[in-house]
Amino acid sequence: MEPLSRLTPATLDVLAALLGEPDRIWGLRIVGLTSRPAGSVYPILERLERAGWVDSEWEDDPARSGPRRRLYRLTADGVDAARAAVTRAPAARPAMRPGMAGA
Amino acid sequence: MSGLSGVVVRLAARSLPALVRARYREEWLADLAGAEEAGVTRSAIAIGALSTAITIDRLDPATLGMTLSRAFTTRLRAAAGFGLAAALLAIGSDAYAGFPTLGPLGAVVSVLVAVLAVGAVVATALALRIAVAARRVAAAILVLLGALALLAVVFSRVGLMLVVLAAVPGVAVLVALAVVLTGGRLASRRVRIVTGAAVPVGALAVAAVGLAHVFVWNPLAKLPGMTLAEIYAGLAAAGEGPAGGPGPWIGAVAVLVALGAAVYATFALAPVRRWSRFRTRRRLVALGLLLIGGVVALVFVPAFTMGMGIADAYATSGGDAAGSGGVLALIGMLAFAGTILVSFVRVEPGPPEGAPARA
Repeated sequence: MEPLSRLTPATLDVLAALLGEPDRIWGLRIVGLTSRPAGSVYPILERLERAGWVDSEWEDDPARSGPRRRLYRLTADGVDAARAAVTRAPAARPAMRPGMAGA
Repeated sequence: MSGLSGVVVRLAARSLPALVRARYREEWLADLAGAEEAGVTRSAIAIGALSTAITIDRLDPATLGMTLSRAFTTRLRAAAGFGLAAALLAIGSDAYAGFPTLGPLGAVVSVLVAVLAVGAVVATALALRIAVAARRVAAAILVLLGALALLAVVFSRVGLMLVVLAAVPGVAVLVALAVVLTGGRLASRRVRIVTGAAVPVGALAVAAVGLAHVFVWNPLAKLPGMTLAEIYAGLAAAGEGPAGGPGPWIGAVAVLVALGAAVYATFALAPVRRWSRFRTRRRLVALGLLLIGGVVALVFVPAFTMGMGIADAYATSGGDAAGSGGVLALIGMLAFAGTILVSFVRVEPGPPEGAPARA
Protein backbone atom coordinates (compact mmCIF):
# COMPACT_ATOMS: atom_id res chain seq x y z
CA MET A 1 0.00 0.00 0.00
CA GLU A 2 1.33 3.42 -0.93
CA PRO A 3 0.94 6.52 1.22
CA LEU A 4 -1.23 9.23 -0.27
CA SER A 5 0.55 12.36 -1.40
CA ARG A 6 -2.29 14.53 -0.08
CA LEU A 7 -5.26 13.99 2.20
CA THR A 8 -7.91 16.51 1.25
CA PRO A 9 -11.10 17.01 3.28
CA ALA A 10 -13.00 15.21 0.52
CA THR A 11 -10.59 12.25 0.74
CA LEU A 12 -11.08 12.12 4.51
CA ASP A 13 -14.85 12.15 3.99
CA VAL A 14 -14.59 9.22 1.60
CA LEU A 15 -12.34 7.32 4.01
CA ALA A 16 -14.75 7.99 6.87
CA ALA A 17 -17.68 6.77 4.78
CA LEU A 18 -15.78 3.58 3.93
CA LEU A 19 -14.81 3.07 7.60
CA GLY A 20 -18.48 3.30 8.51
CA GLU A 21 -19.42 0.44 6.21
CA PRO A 22 -18.34 -3.06 7.23
CA ASP A 23 -19.43 -4.52 3.90
CA ARG A 24 -18.58 -3.57 0.38
CA ILE A 25 -20.31 -0.41 -0.68
CA TRP A 26 -21.53 0.82 -4.05
CA GLY A 27 -19.41 3.70 -5.36
CA LEU A 28 -22.39 5.92 -5.99
CA ARG A 29 -23.58 5.32 -2.43
CA ILE A 30 -20.33 6.89 -1.22
CA VAL A 31 -21.21 9.98 -3.25
CA GLY A 32 -24.50 10.14 -1.36
CA LEU A 33 -22.96 9.43 2.05
CA THR A 34 -20.31 12.11 1.78
CA SER A 35 -22.53 14.69 0.10
CA ARG A 36 -19.52 15.34 -2.08
CA PRO A 37 -19.94 15.68 -5.86
CA ALA A 38 -19.17 12.63 -7.98
CA GLY A 39 -16.58 14.83 -9.68
CA SER A 40 -14.61 14.66 -6.42
CA VAL A 41 -15.49 11.18 -5.17
CA TYR A 42 -14.82 9.22 -8.37
CA PRO A 43 -11.19 10.40 -8.78
CA ILE A 44 -10.60 9.89 -5.04
CA LEU A 45 -11.82 6.28 -5.23
CA GLU A 46 -9.62 5.71 -8.27
CA ARG A 47 -6.61 7.13 -6.41
CA LEU A 48 -7.34 5.15 -3.24
CA GLU A 49 -7.69 1.94 -5.21
CA ARG A 50 -4.51 2.52 -7.18
CA ALA A 51 -2.65 3.21 -3.93
CA GLY A 52 -3.94 -0.03 -2.39
CA TRP A 53 -6.11 1.58 0.30
CA VAL A 54 -9.28 0.27 -1.31
CA ASP A 55 -10.20 -2.69 -3.44
CA SER A 56 -13.30 -3.20 -5.48
CA GLU A 57 -15.27 -5.91 -7.20
CA TRP A 58 -18.41 -6.29 -9.27
CA GLU A 59 -21.73 -6.70 -7.52
CA ASP A 60 -23.08 -10.20 -7.88
CA ASP A 61 -26.80 -9.60 -7.96
CA PRO A 62 -28.66 -11.85 -10.43
CA ALA A 63 -31.85 -9.88 -9.77
CA ARG A 64 -30.35 -6.77 -11.37
CA SER A 65 -29.85 -6.79 -15.14
CA GLY A 66 -27.66 -4.49 -17.21
CA PRO A 67 -24.24 -3.13 -16.28
CA ARG A 68 -22.91 -4.27 -12.91
CA ARG A 69 -22.33 -1.95 -9.97
CA ARG A 70 -18.82 -1.62 -8.60
CA LEU A 71 -18.52 -2.21 -4.87
CA TYR A 72 -15.68 -0.75 -2.79
CA ARG A 73 -14.09 -1.73 0.52
CA LEU A 74 -11.04 -0.66 2.47
CA THR A 75 -8.22 -3.19 2.37
CA ALA A 76 -6.88 -4.52 5.67
CA ASP A 77 -3.98 -2.04 5.56
CA GLY A 78 -6.37 0.59 4.29
CA VAL A 79 -8.56 0.27 7.37
CA ASP A 80 -5.63 1.05 9.68
CA ALA A 81 -4.37 3.89 7.53
CA ALA A 82 -7.84 5.37 7.07
CA ARG A 83 -8.57 5.20 10.77
CA ALA A 84 -5.30 6.96 11.55
CA ALA A 85 -5.93 9.61 8.91
CA VAL A 86 -9.46 10.31 10.05
CA THR A 87 -8.39 10.40 13.70
CA ARG A 88 -5.67 12.90 12.89
CA ALA A 89 -8.28 15.15 11.33
CA PRO A 90 -11.27 14.92 13.65
CA ALA A 91 -13.00 17.84 11.98
CA ALA A 92 -13.47 15.85 8.83
CA ARG A 93 -16.59 13.70 9.08
CA PRO A 94 -18.88 12.54 6.36
CA ALA A 95 -22.08 14.51 6.21
CA MET A 96 -24.24 11.42 6.54
CA ARG A 97 -27.55 11.73 4.80
CA PRO A 98 -30.54 10.11 6.51
CA GLY A 99 -31.38 6.70 5.18
CA MET A 100 -28.23 6.43 3.09
CA ALA A 101 -26.35 3.94 5.20
CA GLY A 102 -25.69 0.50 3.73
CA ALA A 103 -24.87 -0.59 0.21
CA MET B 1 -28.87 4.57 -21.33
CA SER B 2 -29.20 7.34 -23.86
CA GLY B 3 -28.86 11.08 -23.36
CA LEU B 4 -25.95 13.45 -23.11
CA SER B 5 -24.69 11.99 -19.82
CA GLY B 6 -24.53 8.54 -21.40
CA VAL B 7 -22.53 9.90 -24.33
CA VAL B 8 -20.14 11.78 -22.02
CA VAL B 9 -19.60 8.70 -19.85
CA ARG B 10 -18.89 6.52 -22.86
CA LEU B 11 -16.45 9.07 -24.30
CA ALA B 12 -14.72 9.47 -20.93
CA ALA B 13 -14.36 5.69 -20.66
CA ARG B 14 -13.11 5.48 -24.24
CA SER B 15 -10.30 7.90 -23.44
CA LEU B 16 -8.97 5.75 -20.59
CA PRO B 17 -6.00 3.37 -20.90
CA ALA B 18 -7.03 0.02 -22.36
CA LEU B 19 -6.65 -1.96 -19.16
CA VAL B 20 -9.27 -0.01 -17.20
CA ARG B 21 -11.49 1.14 -20.08
CA ALA B 22 -14.13 -1.61 -19.94
CA ARG B 23 -14.25 -1.60 -16.14
CA TYR B 24 -15.02 2.10 -15.77
CA ARG B 25 -17.41 2.08 -18.71
CA GLU B 26 -19.55 -0.58 -17.04
CA GLU B 27 -19.21 0.99 -13.60
CA TRP B 28 -20.30 4.44 -14.78
CA LEU B 29 -23.13 3.08 -16.91
CA ALA B 30 -24.40 1.15 -13.87
CA ASP B 31 -24.15 4.36 -11.83
CA LEU B 32 -26.19 6.20 -14.46
CA ALA B 33 -28.82 3.46 -14.31
CA GLY B 34 -28.98 3.75 -10.51
CA ALA B 35 -28.63 7.53 -10.30
CA GLU B 36 -32.20 8.13 -9.21
CA GLU B 37 -32.03 5.45 -6.54
CA ALA B 38 -28.85 7.00 -5.12
CA GLY B 39 -30.21 10.52 -5.30
CA VAL B 40 -27.44 11.68 -7.60
CA THR B 41 -28.04 13.50 -10.87
CA ARG B 42 -26.92 11.93 -14.13
CA SER B 43 -24.95 15.04 -15.02
CA ALA B 44 -22.99 14.74 -11.74
CA ILE B 45 -22.03 11.19 -12.75
CA ALA B 46 -20.93 12.43 -16.16
CA ILE B 47 -18.78 15.10 -14.49
CA GLY B 48 -17.35 12.41 -12.18
CA ALA B 49 -16.43 10.28 -15.17
CA LEU B 50 -14.76 13.22 -16.90
CA SER B 51 -12.87 14.13 -13.73
CA THR B 52 -11.57 10.58 -13.41
CA ALA B 53 -10.55 10.53 -17.07
CA ILE B 54 -8.60 13.74 -16.56
CA THR B 55 -6.95 12.89 -13.24
CA ILE B 56 -6.25 9.17 -13.63
CA ASP B 57 -2.54 8.35 -13.62
CA ARG B 58 -1.96 7.13 -17.14
CA LEU B 59 1.61 6.11 -16.40
CA ASP B 60 0.75 3.72 -13.59
CA PRO B 61 1.28 0.10 -14.72
CA ALA B 62 -2.07 -0.74 -13.06
CA THR B 63 -3.87 1.45 -15.58
CA LEU B 64 -1.43 1.19 -18.45
CA GLY B 65 -1.49 -2.59 -18.55
CA MET B 66 2.07 -2.57 -19.81
CA THR B 67 5.55 -1.54 -18.74
CA LEU B 68 6.63 2.07 -19.15
CA SER B 69 9.13 0.93 -21.73
CA ARG B 70 6.44 -0.68 -23.86
CA ALA B 71 4.13 2.29 -23.37
CA PHE B 72 6.94 4.57 -24.55
CA THR B 73 7.44 2.47 -27.69
CA THR B 74 3.71 2.42 -28.37
CA ARG B 75 3.36 6.21 -28.05
CA LEU B 76 6.52 6.74 -30.08
CA ARG B 77 5.21 4.53 -32.85
CA ALA B 78 1.92 6.41 -32.85
CA ALA B 79 3.78 9.73 -32.99
CA ALA B 80 5.89 8.50 -35.89
CA GLY B 81 2.85 7.08 -37.70
CA PHE B 82 0.72 10.20 -37.36
CA GLY B 83 3.66 12.51 -38.04
CA LEU B 84 4.93 10.69 -41.13
CA ALA B 85 1.42 10.30 -42.56
CA ALA B 86 0.75 14.01 -42.02
CA ALA B 87 4.11 14.89 -43.57
CA LEU B 88 3.45 12.66 -46.58
CA LEU B 89 0.05 14.23 -47.20
CA ALA B 90 1.40 17.76 -46.66
CA ILE B 91 4.36 17.23 -48.98
CA GLY B 92 2.15 15.51 -51.56
CA SER B 93 -0.35 18.38 -51.49
CA ASP B 94 2.48 20.82 -51.92
CA ALA B 95 4.10 18.87 -54.75
CA TYR B 96 0.94 18.08 -56.65
CA ALA B 97 -0.90 21.12 -57.95
CA GLY B 98 -4.02 19.26 -58.97
CA PHE B 99 -5.89 19.34 -55.66
CA PRO B 100 -7.30 22.84 -56.02
CA THR B 101 -9.29 21.55 -59.01
CA LEU B 102 -10.93 18.94 -56.75
CA GLY B 103 -12.76 21.48 -54.62
CA PRO B 104 -14.13 19.95 -51.40
CA LEU B 105 -12.25 16.69 -52.04
CA GLY B 106 -8.97 18.61 -52.02
CA ALA B 107 -9.97 20.26 -48.76
CA VAL B 108 -10.30 16.77 -47.25
CA VAL B 109 -6.52 16.45 -47.49
CA SER B 110 -6.01 19.67 -45.54
CA VAL B 111 -8.38 18.50 -42.81
CA LEU B 112 -6.66 15.11 -42.68
CA VAL B 113 -3.24 16.72 -42.39
CA ALA B 114 -4.50 18.85 -39.50
CA VAL B 115 -6.07 15.87 -37.68
CA LEU B 116 -2.97 13.72 -38.15
CA ALA B 117 -0.72 16.56 -37.03
CA VAL B 118 -2.75 16.94 -33.82
CA GLY B 119 -2.49 13.17 -33.29
CA ALA B 120 1.28 13.38 -33.79
CA VAL B 121 1.62 16.23 -31.30
CA VAL B 122 -0.48 14.43 -28.66
CA ALA B 123 1.40 11.15 -29.12
CA THR B 124 4.75 12.95 -29.02
CA ALA B 125 3.74 14.73 -25.82
CA LEU B 126 2.70 11.41 -24.25
CA ALA B 127 5.95 9.75 -25.34
CA LEU B 128 7.93 12.65 -23.89
CA ARG B 129 5.99 12.46 -20.62
CA ILE B 130 6.77 8.76 -20.31
CA ALA B 131 10.42 9.30 -21.21
CA VAL B 132 10.71 11.97 -18.52
CA ALA B 133 8.87 9.81 -15.95
CA ALA B 134 11.16 6.88 -16.74
CA ARG B 135 14.18 9.21 -16.61
CA ARG B 136 15.12 8.33 -20.18
CA VAL B 137 16.64 11.68 -21.04
CA ALA B 138 18.35 10.46 -24.20
CA ALA B 139 15.09 9.02 -25.48
CA ALA B 140 13.26 12.27 -24.73
CA ILE B 141 15.87 14.30 -26.61
CA LEU B 142 15.69 11.92 -29.58
CA VAL B 143 11.89 12.21 -29.66
CA LEU B 144 12.13 15.99 -29.73
CA LEU B 145 14.83 15.98 -32.41
CA GLY B 146 12.79 13.57 -34.55
CA ALA B 147 9.70 15.75 -34.29
CA LEU B 148 11.70 18.88 -35.15
CA ALA B 149 13.36 17.15 -38.13
CA LEU B 150 9.97 16.15 -39.47
CA LEU B 151 8.65 19.68 -39.09
CA ALA B 152 11.75 21.06 -40.84
CA VAL B 153 11.25 18.73 -43.80
CA VAL B 154 7.56 19.63 -44.15
CA PHE B 155 8.03 23.37 -43.85
CA SER B 156 11.25 23.67 -45.89
CA ARG B 157 9.18 23.23 -49.06
CA VAL B 158 11.53 20.67 -50.55
CA GLY B 159 8.48 18.50 -51.14
CA LEU B 160 8.71 17.87 -54.87
CA MET B 161 12.42 17.13 -54.75
CA LEU B 162 11.81 14.69 -51.92
CA VAL B 163 8.96 13.00 -53.76
CA VAL B 164 11.17 12.45 -56.81
CA LEU B 165 14.35 11.49 -54.98
CA ALA B 166 12.68 9.32 -52.37
CA ALA B 167 10.17 7.59 -54.64
CA VAL B 168 11.96 4.26 -55.08
CA PRO B 169 13.72 4.01 -51.70
CA GLY B 170 10.58 5.40 -50.07
CA VAL B 171 8.40 2.61 -51.44
CA ALA B 172 11.05 0.06 -50.45
CA VAL B 173 11.04 1.45 -46.91
CA LEU B 174 7.24 1.30 -46.84
CA VAL B 175 7.33 -2.35 -47.93
CA ALA B 176 9.76 -3.13 -45.13
CA LEU B 177 7.59 -1.27 -42.59
CA ALA B 178 4.43 -2.99 -43.79
CA VAL B 179 6.08 -6.37 -43.35
CA VAL B 180 8.12 -5.89 -40.19
CA LEU B 181 5.90 -3.70 -38.01
CA THR B 182 2.57 -5.35 -38.62
CA GLY B 183 2.37 -8.15 -36.12
CA GLY B 184 -0.67 -8.71 -33.95
CA ARG B 185 -3.84 -10.69 -34.41
CA LEU B 186 -3.95 -13.25 -37.16
CA ALA B 187 -6.46 -12.60 -39.92
CA SER B 188 -9.59 -14.69 -39.89
CA ARG B 189 -10.61 -16.63 -42.99
CA ARG B 190 -13.26 -13.99 -43.67
CA VAL B 191 -10.76 -11.12 -43.50
CA ARG B 192 -8.39 -13.00 -45.80
CA ILE B 193 -11.15 -13.60 -48.34
CA VAL B 194 -12.33 -9.98 -48.25
CA THR B 195 -8.84 -8.47 -48.58
CA GLY B 196 -7.70 -11.18 -51.00
CA ALA B 197 -10.55 -10.24 -53.35
CA ALA B 198 -10.97 -6.50 -52.73
CA VAL B 199 -7.31 -5.47 -52.95
CA PRO B 200 -6.53 -7.08 -56.33
CA VAL B 201 -9.82 -5.80 -57.78
CA GLY B 202 -9.08 -2.33 -56.37
CA ALA B 203 -5.54 -2.37 -57.75
CA LEU B 204 -6.74 -3.35 -61.23
CA ALA B 205 -9.50 -0.71 -61.11
CA VAL B 206 -7.04 2.02 -60.10
CA ALA B 207 -4.69 0.92 -62.88
CA ALA B 208 -7.55 1.05 -65.43
CA VAL B 209 -8.60 4.53 -64.28
CA GLY B 210 -4.97 5.64 -64.23
CA LEU B 211 -4.30 4.46 -67.78
CA ALA B 212 -7.53 6.02 -69.02
CA HIS B 213 -6.49 9.27 -67.36
CA VAL B 214 -2.99 9.24 -68.83
CA PHE B 215 -3.84 8.22 -72.38
CA VAL B 216 -7.41 9.48 -72.90
CA TRP B 217 -8.94 11.90 -70.39
CA ASN B 218 -5.91 14.09 -69.68
CA PRO B 219 -4.79 14.59 -73.32
CA LEU B 220 -8.37 15.51 -74.29
CA ALA B 221 -8.61 17.91 -71.34
CA LYS B 222 -5.24 19.51 -72.10
CA LEU B 223 -6.00 20.03 -75.78
CA PRO B 224 -9.68 20.91 -76.04
CA GLY B 225 -11.07 20.81 -79.57
CA MET B 226 -8.72 18.07 -80.76
CA THR B 227 -9.65 14.43 -81.12
CA LEU B 228 -7.53 11.68 -79.59
CA ALA B 229 -6.40 10.56 -83.06
CA GLU B 230 -5.24 14.09 -83.90
CA ILE B 231 -3.37 14.39 -80.61
CA TYR B 232 -1.45 11.14 -81.08
CA ALA B 233 -0.75 11.97 -84.74
CA GLY B 234 0.71 15.29 -83.62
CA LEU B 235 2.81 13.60 -80.97
CA ALA B 236 4.18 11.09 -83.48
CA ALA B 237 4.96 13.83 -85.97
CA ALA B 238 6.88 15.78 -83.31
CA GLY B 239 8.70 12.68 -82.10
CA GLU B 240 7.26 13.18 -78.63
CA GLY B 241 5.20 11.09 -76.24
CA PRO B 242 5.42 7.36 -75.68
CA ALA B 243 7.45 5.56 -78.30
CA GLY B 244 5.27 3.08 -80.17
CA GLY B 245 2.07 4.68 -78.88
CA PRO B 246 0.18 3.91 -75.69
CA GLY B 247 -0.05 0.14 -76.36
CA PRO B 248 3.31 -0.99 -74.92
CA TRP B 249 2.88 1.26 -71.85
CA ILE B 250 -0.61 -0.01 -71.20
CA GLY B 251 0.61 -3.60 -71.61
CA ALA B 252 3.58 -3.09 -69.29
CA VAL B 253 1.49 -1.44 -66.56
CA ALA B 254 -1.24 -4.08 -66.88
CA VAL B 255 1.26 -6.94 -66.58
CA LEU B 256 3.02 -5.42 -63.55
CA VAL B 257 -0.23 -4.61 -61.75
CA ALA B 258 -1.68 -8.04 -62.53
CA LEU B 259 1.52 -9.60 -61.18
CA GLY B 260 1.30 -7.55 -57.96
CA ALA B 261 -2.40 -8.38 -57.57
CA ALA B 262 -1.70 -12.09 -58.10
CA VAL B 263 1.12 -12.11 -55.53
CA TYR B 264 -1.12 -10.35 -53.01
CA ALA B 265 -4.08 -12.65 -53.66
CA THR B 266 -1.82 -15.67 -53.30
CA PHE B 267 -0.43 -14.41 -50.00
CA ALA B 268 -3.92 -13.68 -48.67
CA LEU B 269 -5.80 -16.70 -49.96
CA ALA B 270 -3.43 -19.61 -50.58
CA PRO B 271 -4.32 -22.57 -48.33
CA VAL B 272 -0.75 -22.91 -47.04
CA ARG B 273 -0.76 -23.56 -43.32
CA ARG B 274 2.85 -22.42 -42.85
CA TRP B 275 1.93 -18.93 -44.06
CA SER B 276 -0.83 -18.54 -41.49
CA ARG B 277 1.33 -16.97 -38.82
CA PHE B 278 2.48 -14.27 -41.26
CA ARG B 279 -1.04 -13.35 -42.30
CA THR B 280 -1.95 -10.83 -39.61
CA ARG B 281 -4.86 -8.47 -40.14
CA ARG B 282 -2.67 -5.38 -40.08
CA ARG B 283 -0.15 -6.87 -42.49
CA LEU B 284 -2.86 -7.74 -45.00
CA VAL B 285 -4.31 -4.24 -44.80
CA ALA B 286 -0.92 -2.49 -44.92
CA LEU B 287 0.28 -4.51 -47.89
CA GLY B 288 -3.07 -4.05 -49.64
CA LEU B 289 -2.91 -0.27 -49.26
CA LEU B 290 0.71 -0.36 -50.35
CA LEU B 291 -0.22 -2.23 -53.52
CA ILE B 292 -2.90 0.36 -54.37
CA GLY B 293 -0.49 3.24 -53.68
CA GLY B 294 2.16 1.44 -55.71
CA VAL B 295 -0.18 1.22 -58.70
CA VAL B 296 -0.67 4.99 -58.61
CA ALA B 297 3.10 5.49 -58.38
CA LEU B 298 3.56 3.12 -61.33
CA VAL B 299 1.03 5.03 -63.44
CA PHE B 300 3.04 8.18 -62.75
CA VAL B 301 5.79 6.87 -65.08
CA PRO B 302 3.72 6.89 -68.33
CA ALA B 303 1.91 9.99 -67.02
CA PHE B 304 5.21 11.85 -66.86
CA THR B 305 6.20 10.72 -70.36
CA MET B 306 2.81 11.70 -71.81
CA GLY B 307 2.67 14.99 -69.94
CA MET B 308 6.12 16.04 -71.08
CA GLY B 309 5.43 14.83 -74.63
CA ILE B 310 2.25 16.90 -74.88
CA ALA B 311 3.97 19.89 -73.29
CA ASP B 312 6.81 19.78 -75.83
CA ALA B 313 4.67 18.99 -78.88
CA TYR B 314 1.86 21.46 -78.17
CA ALA B 315 3.57 24.05 -75.97
CA THR B 316 1.32 23.40 -72.99
CA SER B 317 2.18 22.82 -69.34
CA GLY B 318 3.23 19.33 -68.27
CA GLY B 319 0.73 19.16 -65.43
CA ASP B 320 -2.63 17.46 -65.20
CA ALA B 321 -5.66 19.12 -66.76
CA ALA B 322 -8.24 16.39 -66.08
CA GLY B 323 -9.69 16.11 -62.56
CA SER B 324 -9.04 12.38 -62.65
CA GLY B 325 -5.34 13.14 -62.11
CA GLY B 326 -6.10 14.76 -58.76
CA VAL B 327 -8.34 11.87 -57.76
CA LEU B 328 -5.61 9.37 -58.60
CA ALA B 329 -2.96 11.33 -56.71
CA LEU B 330 -5.33 11.56 -53.76
CA ILE B 331 -5.93 7.79 -53.81
CA GLY B 332 -2.19 7.15 -53.96
CA MET B 333 -1.33 9.50 -51.12
CA LEU B 334 -4.13 8.24 -48.92
CA ALA B 335 -3.07 4.65 -49.60
CA PHE B 336 0.56 5.39 -48.68
CA ALA B 337 -0.52 7.39 -45.62
CA GLY B 338 -2.78 4.47 -44.66
CA THR B 339 0.13 2.06 -45.01
CA ILE B 340 2.18 4.20 -42.63
CA LEU B 341 -0.63 4.49 -40.10
CA VAL B 342 -1.50 0.78 -40.11
CA SER B 343 2.19 -0.15 -39.84
CA PHE B 344 3.12 2.22 -37.02
CA VAL B 345 0.04 2.85 -34.92
CA ARG B 346 -0.66 -0.07 -32.65
CA VAL B 347 -4.10 -0.17 -31.06
CA GLU B 348 -3.77 -1.25 -27.43
CA PRO B 349 -5.81 -4.36 -26.78
CA GLY B 350 -8.13 -4.25 -23.79
CA PRO B 351 -8.57 -7.11 -21.33
CA PRO B 352 -10.67 -10.06 -22.51
CA GLU B 353 -14.42 -9.50 -22.52
CA GLY B 354 -15.87 -9.80 -19.02
CA ALA B 355 -12.48 -10.13 -17.39
CA PRO B 356 -11.95 -7.98 -14.33
CA ALA B 357 -9.53 -5.18 -15.02
CA ARG B 358 -7.68 -4.17 -11.86
CA ALA B 359 -9.86 -6.67 -9.97
